[in-house]
Amino acid sequence: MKTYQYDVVVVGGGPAGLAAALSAKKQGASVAILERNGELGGILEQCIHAGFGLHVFKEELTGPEYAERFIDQVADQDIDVFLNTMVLDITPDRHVSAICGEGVLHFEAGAVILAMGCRERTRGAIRIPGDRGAGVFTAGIAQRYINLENMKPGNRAVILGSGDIGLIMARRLTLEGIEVEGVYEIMPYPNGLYRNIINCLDDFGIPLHLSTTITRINGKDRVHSVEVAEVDANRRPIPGTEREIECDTVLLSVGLIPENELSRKAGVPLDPVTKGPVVDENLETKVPGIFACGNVLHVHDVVDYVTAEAQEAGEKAALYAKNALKPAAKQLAVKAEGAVRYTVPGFVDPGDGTDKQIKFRVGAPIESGVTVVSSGGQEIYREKKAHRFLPSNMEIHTVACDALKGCTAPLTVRVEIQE
Amino acid sequence: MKKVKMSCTTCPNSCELLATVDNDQVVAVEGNLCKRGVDFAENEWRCPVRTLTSTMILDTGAKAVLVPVRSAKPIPKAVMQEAMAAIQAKHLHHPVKIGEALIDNVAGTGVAIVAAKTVRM
Repeated sequence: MKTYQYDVVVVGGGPAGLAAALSAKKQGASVAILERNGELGGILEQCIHAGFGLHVFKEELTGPEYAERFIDQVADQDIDVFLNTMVLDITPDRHVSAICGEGVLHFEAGAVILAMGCRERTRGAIRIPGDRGAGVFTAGIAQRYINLENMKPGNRAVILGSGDIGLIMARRLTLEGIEVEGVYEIMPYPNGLYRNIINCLDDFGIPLHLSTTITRINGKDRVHSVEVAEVDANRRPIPGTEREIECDTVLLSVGLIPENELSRKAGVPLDPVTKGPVVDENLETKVPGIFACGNVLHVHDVVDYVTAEAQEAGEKAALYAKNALKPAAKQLAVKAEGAVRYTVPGFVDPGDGTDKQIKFRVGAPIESGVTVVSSGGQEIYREKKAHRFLPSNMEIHTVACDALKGCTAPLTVRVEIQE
Repeated sequence: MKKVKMSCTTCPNSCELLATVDNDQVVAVEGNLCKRGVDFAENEWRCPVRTLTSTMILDTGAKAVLVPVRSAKPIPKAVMQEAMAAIQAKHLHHPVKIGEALIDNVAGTGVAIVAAKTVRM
Protein backbone atom coordinates (compact mmCIF):
# COMPACT_ATOMS: atom_id res chain seq x y z
CA MET A 1 0.00 0.00 0.00
CA LYS A 2 1.40 3.35 -1.06
CA THR A 3 1.48 6.13 1.52
CA TYR A 4 1.63 9.81 0.63
CA GLN A 5 2.03 12.88 2.80
CA TYR A 6 0.57 16.27 1.94
CA ASP A 7 -0.12 19.47 3.83
CA VAL A 8 -3.58 19.59 2.29
CA VAL A 9 -5.63 16.75 0.79
CA VAL A 10 -8.69 17.90 -1.17
CA VAL A 11 -11.48 15.34 -1.57
CA GLY A 12 -13.25 16.09 -4.85
CA GLY A 13 -12.08 17.81 -8.04
CA GLY A 14 -15.17 19.85 -8.91
CA PRO A 15 -15.39 23.64 -8.70
CA ALA A 16 -14.97 23.65 -4.89
CA GLY A 17 -12.01 21.26 -4.86
CA LEU A 18 -10.22 23.06 -7.72
CA ALA A 19 -10.50 26.51 -6.11
CA ALA A 20 -9.60 25.18 -2.66
CA ALA A 21 -6.52 23.40 -4.00
CA LEU A 22 -5.29 26.49 -5.87
CA SER A 23 -5.79 28.67 -2.84
CA ALA A 24 -3.97 26.24 -0.52
CA LYS A 25 -1.11 26.04 -3.02
CA LYS A 26 -0.88 29.83 -3.06
CA GLN A 27 -0.18 29.66 0.67
CA GLY A 28 2.78 27.40 -0.04
CA ALA A 29 1.15 24.12 1.00
CA SER A 30 1.78 20.79 -0.73
CA VAL A 31 -1.58 19.79 -2.19
CA ALA A 32 -3.27 16.68 -3.58
CA ILE A 33 -6.69 16.49 -5.23
CA LEU A 34 -8.44 13.11 -5.07
CA GLU A 35 -11.13 12.78 -7.76
CA ARG A 36 -13.21 9.66 -8.39
CA ASN A 37 -14.03 10.63 -11.99
CA GLY A 38 -11.62 10.28 -14.93
CA GLU A 39 -11.31 14.06 -15.33
CA LEU A 40 -11.46 17.18 -13.19
CA GLY A 41 -14.36 19.63 -13.29
CA GLY A 42 -17.07 17.71 -11.46
CA ILE A 43 -20.66 18.46 -12.40
CA LEU A 44 -19.57 21.51 -14.46
CA GLU A 45 -18.59 19.11 -17.27
CA GLN A 46 -22.24 18.27 -17.93
CA CYS A 47 -23.56 21.79 -17.27
CA ILE A 48 -22.97 22.92 -20.84
CA HIS A 49 -25.31 25.92 -20.50
CA ALA A 50 -24.04 29.45 -20.01
CA GLY A 51 -24.43 31.55 -16.87
CA PHE A 52 -21.27 30.74 -14.91
CA GLY A 53 -18.52 33.18 -14.03
CA LEU A 54 -20.42 36.48 -13.95
CA HIS A 55 -18.87 37.33 -10.56
CA VAL A 56 -15.48 35.63 -10.77
CA PHE A 57 -14.59 36.41 -14.41
CA LYS A 58 -17.11 39.19 -15.20
CA GLU A 59 -18.28 37.27 -18.25
CA GLU A 60 -20.82 34.60 -18.96
CA LEU A 61 -19.20 31.19 -19.36
CA THR A 62 -20.52 27.67 -19.84
CA GLY A 63 -19.79 25.04 -17.19
CA PRO A 64 -16.94 23.36 -19.11
CA GLU A 65 -15.37 26.76 -19.86
CA TYR A 66 -15.54 27.77 -16.20
CA ALA A 67 -14.00 24.44 -15.17
CA GLU A 68 -11.24 24.57 -17.79
CA ARG A 69 -9.97 27.90 -16.48
CA PHE A 70 -9.39 26.30 -13.06
CA ILE A 71 -8.15 22.99 -14.46
CA ASP A 72 -5.52 24.90 -16.50
CA GLN A 73 -4.38 26.76 -13.39
CA VAL A 74 -4.11 23.49 -11.45
CA ALA A 75 -2.04 22.01 -14.29
CA ASP A 76 0.31 25.01 -14.15
CA GLN A 77 0.86 24.55 -10.43
CA ASP A 78 2.69 21.83 -8.60
CA ILE A 79 -0.54 20.18 -7.44
CA ASP A 80 -0.82 16.38 -7.52
CA VAL A 81 -4.05 15.17 -9.10
CA PHE A 82 -5.22 11.60 -8.50
CA LEU A 83 -7.97 10.75 -11.00
CA ASN A 84 -10.16 7.63 -10.92
CA THR A 85 -9.41 7.62 -7.22
CA MET A 86 -12.29 7.20 -4.83
CA VAL A 87 -11.89 8.09 -1.19
CA LEU A 88 -13.25 5.33 1.04
CA ASP A 89 -12.48 6.62 4.49
CA ILE A 90 -11.30 9.67 6.38
CA THR A 91 -10.33 9.40 10.04
CA PRO A 92 -10.60 12.23 12.60
CA ASP A 93 -6.78 12.39 12.65
CA ARG A 94 -6.79 13.00 8.89
CA HIS A 95 -5.73 9.67 7.46
CA VAL A 96 -7.40 9.34 4.09
CA SER A 97 -7.72 5.98 2.32
CA ALA A 98 -8.66 5.79 -1.31
CA ILE A 99 -8.91 3.16 -4.01
CA CYS A 100 -7.74 3.43 -7.60
CA GLY A 101 -6.72 1.11 -10.44
CA GLU A 102 -3.43 0.31 -8.72
CA GLY A 103 -5.06 -0.57 -5.43
CA VAL A 104 -5.41 1.18 -2.12
CA LEU A 105 -3.68 4.50 -1.52
CA HIS A 106 -3.09 6.02 1.85
CA PHE A 107 -2.71 9.74 2.56
CA GLU A 108 -1.53 11.46 5.72
CA ALA A 109 -2.83 15.00 5.59
CA GLY A 110 -2.00 18.11 7.58
CA ALA A 111 -5.48 19.29 6.71
CA VAL A 112 -8.36 17.78 4.75
CA ILE A 113 -10.80 19.76 2.63
CA LEU A 114 -14.17 18.14 2.04
CA ALA A 115 -15.34 19.15 -1.45
CA MET A 116 -17.49 16.20 -2.49
CA GLY A 117 -20.45 18.26 -3.70
CA CYS A 118 -24.01 17.04 -3.54
CA ARG A 119 -26.33 14.56 -5.17
CA GLU A 120 -29.89 14.69 -6.38
CA ARG A 121 -32.94 13.57 -4.49
CA THR A 122 -34.54 10.61 -6.24
CA ARG A 123 -38.01 9.16 -6.73
CA GLY A 124 -37.49 7.13 -3.56
CA ALA A 125 -36.82 10.28 -1.55
CA ILE A 126 -40.20 11.75 -2.46
CA ARG A 127 -42.12 8.46 -2.72
CA ILE A 128 -44.17 8.91 -5.89
CA PRO A 129 -46.66 6.02 -6.03
CA GLY A 130 -47.29 3.93 -9.12
CA ASP A 131 -45.53 1.49 -11.42
CA ARG A 132 -41.79 1.13 -11.58
CA GLY A 133 -41.26 1.16 -15.32
CA ALA A 134 -38.21 2.60 -17.07
CA GLY A 135 -38.19 6.28 -18.02
CA VAL A 136 -37.90 7.97 -14.61
CA PHE A 137 -34.66 9.96 -14.31
CA THR A 138 -33.26 12.64 -12.09
CA ALA A 139 -32.73 15.78 -14.15
CA GLY A 140 -28.97 15.48 -13.68
CA ILE A 141 -28.87 11.91 -14.99
CA ALA A 142 -30.81 12.99 -18.09
CA GLN A 143 -28.34 15.87 -18.42
CA ARG A 144 -25.44 13.44 -18.27
CA TYR A 145 -27.05 11.14 -20.87
CA ILE A 146 -27.71 13.97 -23.33
CA ASN A 147 -24.64 16.17 -22.82
CA LEU A 148 -21.93 13.57 -22.19
CA GLU A 149 -23.12 10.12 -23.25
CA ASN A 150 -25.01 11.01 -26.44
CA MET A 151 -28.08 9.08 -25.32
CA LYS A 152 -31.71 10.14 -25.68
CA PRO A 153 -33.76 9.53 -22.54
CA GLY A 154 -37.18 9.55 -24.28
CA ASN A 155 -39.54 11.34 -26.62
CA ARG A 156 -42.09 13.17 -24.47
CA ALA A 157 -41.21 14.30 -20.98
CA VAL A 158 -42.91 15.66 -17.91
CA ILE A 159 -40.66 17.44 -15.42
CA LEU A 160 -41.41 17.34 -11.71
CA GLY A 161 -39.89 20.17 -9.68
CA SER A 162 -38.74 23.58 -10.81
CA GLY A 163 -35.17 23.37 -9.50
CA ASP A 164 -32.55 24.90 -11.78
CA ILE A 165 -31.43 21.61 -13.30
CA GLY A 166 -35.02 20.75 -14.20
CA LEU A 167 -35.52 24.13 -15.90
CA ILE A 168 -32.21 23.90 -17.75
CA MET A 169 -33.14 20.40 -18.92
CA ALA A 170 -36.56 21.55 -20.15
CA ARG A 171 -34.73 23.82 -22.61
CA ARG A 172 -32.11 21.23 -23.44
CA LEU A 173 -34.68 18.52 -24.22
CA THR A 174 -36.67 20.94 -26.39
CA LEU A 175 -33.60 21.98 -28.37
CA GLU A 176 -32.77 18.32 -28.97
CA GLY A 177 -36.27 17.63 -30.30
CA ILE A 178 -37.70 15.95 -27.19
CA GLU A 179 -41.11 17.33 -26.33
CA VAL A 180 -41.56 18.76 -22.83
CA GLU A 181 -45.24 18.70 -21.84
CA GLY A 182 -44.78 20.89 -18.80
CA VAL A 183 -43.03 21.48 -15.50
CA TYR A 184 -44.94 20.70 -12.30
CA GLU A 185 -44.02 22.27 -8.95
CA ILE A 186 -45.64 21.28 -5.67
CA MET A 187 -44.82 24.64 -4.04
CA PRO A 188 -46.77 27.82 -4.89
CA TYR A 189 -43.53 29.43 -6.11
CA PRO A 190 -40.75 28.26 -8.44
CA ASN A 191 -37.62 26.71 -6.94
CA GLY A 192 -35.13 27.77 -9.58
CA LEU A 193 -33.53 31.09 -10.43
CA TYR A 194 -35.84 33.52 -12.16
CA ARG A 195 -33.60 33.92 -15.21
CA ASN A 196 -33.92 30.18 -15.82
CA ILE A 197 -37.71 30.37 -15.84
CA ILE A 198 -37.56 33.08 -18.51
CA ASN A 199 -34.74 31.61 -20.58
CA CYS A 200 -35.67 27.94 -20.30
CA LEU A 201 -39.46 27.84 -20.07
CA ASP A 202 -40.99 31.10 -21.32
CA ASP A 203 -38.68 31.27 -24.35
CA PHE A 204 -39.97 27.87 -25.49
CA GLY A 205 -43.59 28.19 -24.38
CA ILE A 206 -43.24 25.42 -21.78
CA PRO A 207 -45.89 25.82 -19.07
CA LEU A 208 -44.99 25.89 -15.37
CA HIS A 209 -47.79 24.52 -13.18
CA LEU A 210 -47.38 25.69 -9.58
CA SER A 211 -49.08 23.99 -6.59
CA THR A 212 -49.31 20.85 -8.71
CA THR A 213 -47.56 17.50 -8.35
CA ILE A 214 -47.33 14.03 -9.84
CA THR A 215 -49.55 11.67 -7.84
CA ARG A 216 -48.91 8.49 -9.84
CA ILE A 217 -46.56 7.14 -12.51
CA ASN A 218 -48.13 4.61 -14.91
CA GLY A 219 -46.42 2.03 -17.12
CA LYS A 220 -45.07 -1.37 -16.10
CA ASP A 221 -42.17 -1.72 -18.56
CA ARG A 222 -41.87 1.87 -19.70
CA VAL A 223 -43.64 4.96 -18.41
CA HIS A 224 -46.72 5.69 -20.56
CA SER A 225 -48.40 8.39 -18.46
CA VAL A 226 -48.43 10.26 -15.18
CA GLU A 227 -51.32 11.48 -13.08
CA VAL A 228 -50.97 15.04 -11.80
CA ALA A 229 -53.14 16.85 -9.26
CA GLU A 230 -53.32 20.29 -7.74
CA VAL A 231 -52.36 20.51 -4.08
CA ASP A 232 -53.78 22.48 -1.17
CA ALA A 233 -51.86 24.79 1.20
CA ASN A 234 -50.61 21.68 3.06
CA ARG A 235 -49.30 20.18 -0.18
CA ARG A 236 -51.98 17.48 -0.16
CA PRO A 237 -53.53 16.54 -3.53
CA ILE A 238 -57.03 18.03 -3.99
CA PRO A 239 -59.49 15.24 -4.95
CA GLY A 240 -61.15 15.85 -8.29
CA THR A 241 -58.25 17.83 -9.79
CA GLU A 242 -56.41 14.75 -11.09
CA ARG A 243 -55.63 14.49 -14.79
CA GLU A 244 -53.61 12.00 -16.80
CA ILE A 245 -50.77 13.12 -19.07
CA GLU A 246 -49.24 10.88 -21.70
CA CYS A 247 -45.45 10.78 -21.57
CA ASP A 248 -42.64 8.23 -21.74
CA THR A 249 -40.19 10.14 -19.58
CA VAL A 250 -40.30 11.75 -16.15
CA LEU A 251 -37.48 14.02 -14.99
CA LEU A 252 -37.15 14.80 -11.30
CA SER A 253 -35.67 18.09 -10.17
CA VAL A 254 -36.67 17.88 -6.53
CA GLY A 255 -33.67 19.05 -4.59
CA LEU A 256 -30.04 18.37 -3.83
CA ILE A 257 -28.48 16.81 -0.75
CA PRO A 258 -24.84 17.35 0.28
CA GLU A 259 -22.89 14.12 -0.04
CA ASN A 260 -21.55 13.60 3.48
CA GLU A 261 -20.98 9.86 3.93
CA LEU A 262 -17.23 10.49 4.26
CA SER A 263 -17.76 13.45 6.61
CA ARG A 264 -19.78 11.20 8.91
CA LYS A 265 -17.04 8.57 8.89
CA ALA A 266 -14.61 11.29 9.95
CA GLY A 267 -16.88 12.11 12.87
CA VAL A 268 -17.84 15.53 11.49
CA PRO A 269 -21.12 16.77 13.03
CA LEU A 270 -23.71 17.80 10.44
CA ASP A 271 -26.36 20.51 10.48
CA PRO A 272 -29.84 18.91 10.27
CA VAL A 273 -31.09 21.65 7.92
CA THR A 274 -28.23 22.01 5.42
CA LYS A 275 -27.27 18.30 5.79
CA GLY A 276 -23.69 19.62 5.56
CA PRO A 277 -21.00 19.99 8.23
CA VAL A 278 -21.33 22.61 10.94
CA VAL A 279 -18.41 25.01 10.37
CA ASP A 280 -16.92 28.15 11.86
CA GLU A 281 -15.94 31.24 9.87
CA ASN A 282 -12.75 29.51 8.74
CA LEU A 283 -14.93 26.76 7.21
CA GLU A 284 -13.37 24.35 9.68
CA THR A 285 -15.68 21.58 10.88
CA LYS A 286 -15.97 20.51 14.51
CA VAL A 287 -13.13 18.05 13.80
CA PRO A 288 -9.89 20.07 13.90
CA GLY A 289 -8.08 20.23 10.58
CA ILE A 290 -11.04 19.08 8.49
CA PHE A 291 -12.55 21.87 6.39
CA ALA A 292 -15.58 21.91 4.06
CA CYS A 293 -16.67 24.08 1.15
CA GLY A 294 -19.03 24.15 -1.79
CA ASN A 295 -22.15 22.04 -2.14
CA VAL A 296 -20.99 19.44 0.38
CA LEU A 297 -21.31 22.21 2.98
CA HIS A 298 -24.59 23.73 1.80
CA VAL A 299 -26.23 23.77 -1.63
CA HIS A 300 -25.28 26.95 -3.48
CA ASP A 301 -27.25 28.76 -6.16
CA VAL A 302 -24.30 30.08 -8.18
CA VAL A 303 -20.91 28.40 -8.77
CA ASP A 304 -19.06 31.70 -8.39
CA TYR A 305 -19.95 31.67 -4.68
CA VAL A 306 -18.69 28.09 -4.42
CA THR A 307 -15.36 29.28 -5.80
CA ALA A 308 -15.13 32.16 -3.32
CA GLU A 309 -15.99 29.90 -0.39
CA ALA A 310 -13.52 27.25 -1.51
CA GLN A 311 -10.72 29.81 -1.83
CA GLU A 312 -11.33 30.73 1.79
CA ALA A 313 -11.32 27.08 2.88
CA GLY A 314 -8.12 26.40 0.93
CA GLU A 315 -6.30 29.29 2.51
CA LYS A 316 -7.39 28.39 6.04
CA ALA A 317 -6.61 24.69 5.58
CA ALA A 318 -3.08 25.56 4.40
CA LEU A 319 -2.59 27.79 7.44
CA TYR A 320 -3.85 25.00 9.71
CA ALA A 321 -1.43 22.52 8.18
CA LYS A 322 1.43 24.94 8.92
CA ASN A 323 0.23 25.52 12.50
CA ALA A 324 -0.46 29.14 11.55
CA LEU A 325 -4.23 29.19 12.02
CA LYS A 326 -5.01 30.90 15.30
CA PRO A 327 -7.46 28.85 17.35
CA ALA A 328 -10.61 30.76 18.28
CA ALA A 329 -10.39 32.44 21.68
CA LYS A 330 -14.15 32.23 22.01
CA GLN A 331 -16.88 30.81 19.79
CA LEU A 332 -20.39 32.17 19.52
CA ALA A 333 -23.17 30.21 17.85
CA VAL A 334 -24.87 31.81 14.84
CA LYS A 335 -28.56 30.94 14.86
CA ALA A 336 -31.24 31.14 12.19
CA GLU A 337 -34.48 32.74 13.28
CA GLY A 338 -37.94 32.85 11.70
CA ALA A 339 -37.87 32.75 7.91
CA VAL A 340 -34.10 32.14 7.89
CA ARG A 341 -33.65 28.37 7.51
CA TYR A 342 -29.98 28.04 8.36
CA THR A 343 -26.74 29.97 8.53
CA VAL A 344 -23.21 29.21 7.38
CA PRO A 345 -21.05 29.51 9.44
CA GLY A 346 -22.70 28.04 12.51
CA PHE A 347 -20.05 29.52 14.82
CA VAL A 348 -17.84 32.61 14.82
CA ASP A 349 -15.06 34.04 16.98
CA PRO A 350 -16.26 37.59 17.70
CA GLY A 351 -12.94 38.94 18.93
CA ASP A 352 -10.40 37.95 16.26
CA GLY A 353 -10.63 41.27 14.42
CA THR A 354 -11.99 40.00 11.09
CA ASP A 355 -15.27 40.74 9.31
CA LYS A 356 -17.64 37.78 9.19
CA GLN A 357 -19.49 36.64 6.13
CA ILE A 358 -22.85 35.05 6.92
CA LYS A 359 -24.74 33.06 4.29
CA PHE A 360 -28.31 31.85 4.56
CA ARG A 361 -31.49 31.00 2.72
CA VAL A 362 -35.11 31.73 3.54
CA GLY A 363 -37.76 28.99 3.67
CA ALA A 364 -40.44 30.89 1.72
CA PRO A 365 -40.47 34.02 -0.46
CA ILE A 366 -40.58 37.41 1.28
CA GLU A 367 -41.68 40.30 -0.94
CA SER A 368 -39.67 42.96 0.87
CA GLY A 369 -37.40 42.73 3.87
CA VAL A 370 -34.01 43.46 5.38
CA THR A 371 -31.50 41.14 7.02
CA VAL A 372 -30.87 41.85 10.71
CA VAL A 373 -28.16 40.25 12.88
CA SER A 374 -28.37 40.61 16.67
CA SER A 375 -26.48 39.43 19.72
CA GLY A 376 -28.26 39.35 23.08
CA GLY A 377 -30.99 41.71 21.87
CA GLN A 378 -28.43 44.19 20.50
CA GLU A 379 -28.55 44.80 16.74
CA ILE A 380 -25.07 44.48 15.24
CA TYR A 381 -25.99 44.48 11.55
CA ARG A 382 -28.91 45.84 9.58
CA GLU A 383 -29.17 45.71 5.81
CA LYS A 384 -29.72 49.19 4.34
CA LYS A 385 -31.90 48.48 1.34
CA ALA A 386 -35.05 46.36 1.47
CA HIS A 387 -35.35 43.68 -1.23
CA ARG A 388 -37.10 40.46 -2.13
CA PHE A 389 -35.93 37.19 -0.54
CA LEU A 390 -36.41 33.94 -2.45
CA PRO A 391 -35.67 30.37 -1.29
CA SER A 392 -33.80 29.82 -4.58
CA ASN A 393 -31.30 32.61 -3.81
CA MET A 394 -28.51 32.35 -1.27
CA GLU A 395 -28.06 35.51 0.81
CA ILE A 396 -24.53 36.68 1.67
CA HIS A 397 -23.99 39.41 4.27
CA THR A 398 -20.86 40.74 5.94
CA VAL A 399 -20.88 41.75 9.60
CA ALA A 400 -18.07 44.19 10.40
CA CYS A 401 -15.54 43.13 13.04
CA ASP A 402 -16.09 46.35 15.01
CA ALA A 403 -19.76 45.51 15.50
CA LEU A 404 -18.81 42.06 16.82
CA LYS A 405 -16.34 43.28 19.40
CA GLY A 406 -17.58 42.57 22.90
CA CYS A 407 -20.44 40.30 21.78
CA THR A 408 -20.96 37.53 24.31
CA ALA A 409 -24.38 36.15 23.36
CA PRO A 410 -25.11 33.95 20.31
CA LEU A 411 -25.77 35.81 17.06
CA THR A 412 -29.23 35.52 15.60
CA VAL A 413 -29.97 36.14 11.92
CA ARG A 414 -33.48 37.09 10.84
CA VAL A 415 -35.31 38.84 8.02
CA GLU A 416 -37.40 41.79 9.10
CA ILE A 417 -40.39 42.22 6.81
CA GLN A 418 -40.81 45.74 5.41
CA GLU A 419 -44.19 47.01 4.30
CA MET B 1 -45.19 55.52 -25.98
CA LYS B 2 -46.00 52.65 -23.67
CA LYS B 3 -44.56 50.89 -20.64
CA VAL B 4 -43.40 47.27 -20.88
CA LYS B 5 -42.53 44.98 -17.96
CA MET B 6 -39.48 42.77 -18.38
CA SER B 7 -37.26 40.68 -16.17
CA CYS B 8 -33.56 41.03 -16.77
CA THR B 9 -31.87 37.64 -17.17
CA THR B 10 -28.30 38.90 -17.34
CA CYS B 11 -27.44 37.79 -13.81
CA PRO B 12 -29.16 36.14 -10.81
CA ASN B 13 -30.30 39.52 -9.45
CA SER B 14 -33.20 39.17 -11.93
CA CYS B 15 -34.09 42.87 -11.83
CA GLU B 16 -37.69 43.61 -12.73
CA LEU B 17 -37.50 46.26 -15.41
CA LEU B 18 -40.11 48.73 -16.51
CA ALA B 19 -39.13 49.93 -19.97
CA THR B 20 -40.70 52.93 -21.66
CA VAL B 21 -40.81 52.20 -25.39
CA ASP B 22 -41.61 54.27 -28.45
CA ASN B 23 -41.99 52.08 -31.56
CA ASP B 24 -38.65 50.26 -31.77
CA GLN B 25 -36.87 52.62 -29.35
CA VAL B 26 -36.44 52.06 -25.64
CA VAL B 27 -36.45 55.59 -24.21
CA ALA B 28 -36.19 54.80 -20.49
CA VAL B 29 -35.57 51.84 -18.17
CA GLU B 30 -36.44 51.70 -14.48
CA GLY B 31 -35.77 49.03 -11.87
CA ASN B 32 -32.30 48.00 -13.06
CA LEU B 33 -29.43 47.73 -10.57
CA CYS B 34 -26.77 48.17 -13.24
CA LYS B 35 -26.21 49.37 -16.81
CA ARG B 36 -26.55 45.86 -18.20
CA GLY B 37 -30.26 46.16 -17.45
CA VAL B 38 -30.56 48.95 -20.02
CA ASP B 39 -28.73 46.90 -22.66
CA PHE B 40 -30.92 43.94 -21.87
CA ALA B 41 -34.15 45.96 -22.21
CA GLU B 42 -33.05 47.40 -25.56
CA ASN B 43 -32.19 43.99 -26.97
CA GLU B 44 -35.24 42.34 -25.48
CA TRP B 45 -37.57 44.90 -27.05
CA ARG B 46 -35.98 45.07 -30.49
CA CYS B 47 -34.56 41.58 -31.03
CA PRO B 48 -34.27 39.22 -28.05
CA VAL B 49 -30.96 37.34 -28.09
CA ARG B 50 -29.72 34.32 -26.13
CA THR B 51 -26.48 32.39 -25.90
CA LEU B 52 -27.06 29.01 -27.55
CA THR B 53 -25.22 26.03 -26.08
CA SER B 54 -25.27 22.45 -27.30
CA THR B 55 -22.89 19.62 -28.13
CA MET B 56 -21.20 18.52 -31.33
CA ILE B 57 -20.13 14.98 -32.19
CA LEU B 58 -16.41 14.28 -32.41
CA ASP B 59 -15.72 10.95 -34.16
CA THR B 60 -12.63 9.44 -32.64
CA GLY B 61 -13.00 6.19 -34.55
CA ALA B 62 -13.64 4.03 -31.52
CA LYS B 63 -16.28 6.07 -29.79
CA ALA B 64 -18.19 9.28 -30.47
CA VAL B 65 -17.31 11.98 -27.97
CA LEU B 66 -19.49 15.02 -27.39
CA VAL B 67 -17.81 18.41 -27.45
CA PRO B 68 -19.70 21.17 -25.63
CA VAL B 69 -20.19 24.17 -27.94
CA ARG B 70 -21.66 27.67 -27.65
CA SER B 71 -22.45 30.67 -29.74
CA ALA B 72 -19.55 33.08 -29.26
CA LYS B 73 -22.11 35.79 -28.61
CA PRO B 74 -25.86 35.75 -27.97
CA ILE B 75 -27.85 35.16 -31.17
CA PRO B 76 -31.48 36.06 -31.98
CA LYS B 77 -34.03 33.79 -30.35
CA ALA B 78 -35.77 33.42 -33.70
CA VAL B 79 -32.89 31.43 -35.27
CA MET B 80 -32.28 28.95 -32.40
CA GLN B 81 -33.70 25.90 -34.20
CA GLU B 82 -31.85 26.75 -37.42
CA ALA B 83 -28.62 27.08 -35.45
CA MET B 84 -29.30 23.78 -33.66
CA ALA B 85 -29.79 22.04 -37.01
CA ALA B 86 -26.42 23.36 -38.21
CA ILE B 87 -24.72 22.11 -35.03
CA GLN B 88 -26.36 18.69 -35.31
CA ALA B 89 -25.36 18.32 -38.96
CA LYS B 90 -21.69 18.94 -38.28
CA HIS B 91 -19.32 16.15 -37.24
CA LEU B 92 -15.79 16.82 -36.03
CA HIS B 93 -12.85 14.57 -36.78
CA HIS B 94 -10.02 16.42 -35.06
CA PRO B 95 -9.07 17.51 -31.54
CA VAL B 96 -10.47 20.91 -30.60
CA LYS B 97 -9.21 23.75 -28.49
CA ILE B 98 -11.45 25.85 -26.28
CA GLY B 99 -12.66 28.94 -28.18
CA GLU B 100 -11.94 27.40 -31.61
CA ALA B 101 -14.56 28.36 -34.21
CA LEU B 102 -16.35 25.24 -35.46
CA ILE B 103 -19.05 26.96 -37.54
CA ASP B 104 -18.15 30.44 -38.74
CA ASN B 105 -21.43 32.16 -39.38
CA VAL B 106 -24.26 30.20 -37.83
CA ALA B 107 -27.71 30.72 -39.35
CA GLY B 108 -26.56 33.92 -41.02
CA THR B 109 -26.06 35.68 -37.69
CA GLY B 110 -22.41 36.52 -38.25
CA VAL B 111 -21.72 34.75 -34.95
CA ALA B 112 -19.50 31.67 -34.68
CA ILE B 113 -20.23 28.43 -32.87
CA VAL B 114 -17.10 27.77 -30.80
CA ALA B 115 -15.79 24.85 -28.75
CA ALA B 116 -16.44 25.30 -25.01
CA LYS B 117 -13.83 22.74 -24.02
CA THR B 118 -10.42 21.53 -25.11
CA VAL B 119 -10.78 17.91 -26.23
CA ARG B 120 -7.66 15.92 -27.03
CA MET B 121 -8.25 12.71 -28.93
